[in-house]
Amino acid sequence: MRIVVICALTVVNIILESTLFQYTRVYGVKPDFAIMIIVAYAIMRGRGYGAFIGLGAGFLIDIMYGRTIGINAMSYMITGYIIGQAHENVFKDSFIPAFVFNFIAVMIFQHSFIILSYFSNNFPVSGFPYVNMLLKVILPQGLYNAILGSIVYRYIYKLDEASFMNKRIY
Amino acid sequence: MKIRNKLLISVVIISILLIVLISLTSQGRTRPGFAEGLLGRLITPVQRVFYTSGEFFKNTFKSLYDLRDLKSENEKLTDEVEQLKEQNRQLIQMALENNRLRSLLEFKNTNTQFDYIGANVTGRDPGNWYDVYTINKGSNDGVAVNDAVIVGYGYLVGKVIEVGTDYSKLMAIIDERSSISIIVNRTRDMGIVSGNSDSDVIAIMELEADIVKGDDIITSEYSTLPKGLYIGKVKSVEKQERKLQKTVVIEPAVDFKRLEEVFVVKPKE
Repeated sequence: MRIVVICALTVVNIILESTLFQYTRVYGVKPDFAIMIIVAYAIMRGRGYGAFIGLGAGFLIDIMYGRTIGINAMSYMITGYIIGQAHENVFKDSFIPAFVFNFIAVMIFQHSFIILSYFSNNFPVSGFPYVNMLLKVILPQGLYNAILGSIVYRYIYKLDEASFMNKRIY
Repeated sequence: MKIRNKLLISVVIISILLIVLISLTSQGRTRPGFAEGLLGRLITPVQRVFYTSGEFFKNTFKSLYDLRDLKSENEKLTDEVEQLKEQNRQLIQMALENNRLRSLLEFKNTNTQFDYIGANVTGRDPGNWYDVYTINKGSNDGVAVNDAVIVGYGYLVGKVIEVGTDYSKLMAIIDERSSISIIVNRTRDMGIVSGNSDSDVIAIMELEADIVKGDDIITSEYSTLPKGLYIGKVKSVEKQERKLQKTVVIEPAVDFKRLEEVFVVKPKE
């Protein structure tokens, strides 16, 4: 059941992210809700969950909106895997790890994304104005994600604690 | 005899009295007589009390009766107001949509050399870097890769980069990866335009190109897109002597935050 719920959550999230959550843009910067889900599961359930949710979500985004398949998938997967390392060493019922790791996750994701898109000739900005990109998009997004992510984390945590998640449905 | 005629006498007397009365009143009366007047004066107030109290009861019961209906009537009217509000909202939306579509139609009527496929934008790239949109028309509707996508008055949105059976991806002109051959409408100087991370587009022009702030930029014939589609106005021009080029910032005419109805444009075969 947990797997089914996570799959549904991921798919619904991507549909919402490309439509409704576009309105969450502040000065053109949109928080990454996929990262919130990945971080929440990476903290709660470890790197396996983080990596696979990242892979699934990334592939969906690549197929639906990307020109090159795999940039998002790989970036999200690496992010989920790295954040998942912290699984055993953090309190799961506090929002502080979610806050910190959401910020870190955005950093990991964006840098991985920048490197991959640079080498696949998909670089989103002309030249390589790294400082500009960092100040204008990556850091604000990290902060935005950290704030929203720690709120979202509580709900995902509650959802994951619900008893029906452990039911077997096959 | 005396006893026998008693009834007859009284009948006769009454008859005579009545005849007198008839003859007295046969002319029609304008004023009641004394007795009549007295009677009338006594009765009228009583009548009035009964009449007005009747009215009072009638009104009271009527309003009580109405009161019972008032609630349902109120509900009915509230419903009606809600319905009318909703209708009003829909009409306003339709009027706005109508305006948008009319501007498209004007362009369509004056530019008959193209085929048009109407489409709605269904989503946008969730990330922060790229400007890729999905639309709800695909190869089943005749959309092909590299078709131009426009909104009202022929403003260029971007071009189609991938086509599914009933959806397509379009890359907006503000995406860094897009590059389109353009021409300055006033001087016919050519250049290449591509997006950047802000919502402006940047054109690279020759150093000698005659271009100033406010010039209109349209697509050129050397593009995969149809020529003459409007891109936007020049916002600023920067001369880069060392690179032997001018960097021109163009403000697109399209509001990319509010993309709804678009038209896929292709030249007629």
